[in-house]
Amino acid sequence: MDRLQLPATLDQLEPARQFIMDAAERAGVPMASQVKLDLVLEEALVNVIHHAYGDAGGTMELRCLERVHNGQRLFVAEIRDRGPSFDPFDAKPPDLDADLDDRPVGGLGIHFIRQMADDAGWRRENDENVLHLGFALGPVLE
Amino acid sequence: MEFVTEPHGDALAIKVSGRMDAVTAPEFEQACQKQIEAGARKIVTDLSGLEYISSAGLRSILATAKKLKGVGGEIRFCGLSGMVQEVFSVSGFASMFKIHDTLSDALGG
Repeated sequence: MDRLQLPATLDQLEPARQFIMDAAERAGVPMASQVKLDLVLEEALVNVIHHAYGDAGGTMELRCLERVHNGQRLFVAEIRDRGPSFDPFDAKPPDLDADLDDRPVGGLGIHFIRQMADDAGWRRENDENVLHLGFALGPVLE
Repeated sequence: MEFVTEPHGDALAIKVSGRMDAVTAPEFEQACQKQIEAGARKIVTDLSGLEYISSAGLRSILATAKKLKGVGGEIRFCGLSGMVQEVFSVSGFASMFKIHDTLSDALGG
């Protein structure tokens, strides 16, 4: 398993992205899924960077692994932080039909994660928030 | 991310290329803000060179659209493809805004 710990700051977005995208490429994640991973990864990282810690700041840890889920081999990127327990999937889905005046600025990141990852979830483990993003290696089993 | 602005009559075309992510999206918003302050009311954003956009990019677009609407202006888009088109579609932005195939389509009508 590859892992990397970084300060949870916006200037670490690019090195964090490089680390995960390189691992995804090595694992053989199909190109179409790499594009989706790129997006949902940013959404997950930015959530941690903006919300996990107050002004004190903190770190985020990235892990890349492979797992079999429902008979499907997955590449899994985990994003871990030590902030207060927070399940991003608790958030109310955004109103996609709202017009310009009523559209809140935000709330779309978790929607993209739900829509675009082949598997995604949150768990609390050893005082850490663990968000995982899974993408199928090989054809997706229905 | 890079942008090139070009006046077309009463409209201003902004061609955006590269990646519009959490780091670069504020640059787009600031550039548009400057143009609105300078009097731009009809902005056509050509996304044909844009490789990537995240929710941070959409947030900058939404903020710009709201500012333009507040001064009686409008933002339109053209040249969406690949993941940019998918992100517009999954977010509902594709139905909220006027989207055209080409810059000349977006400038007309």
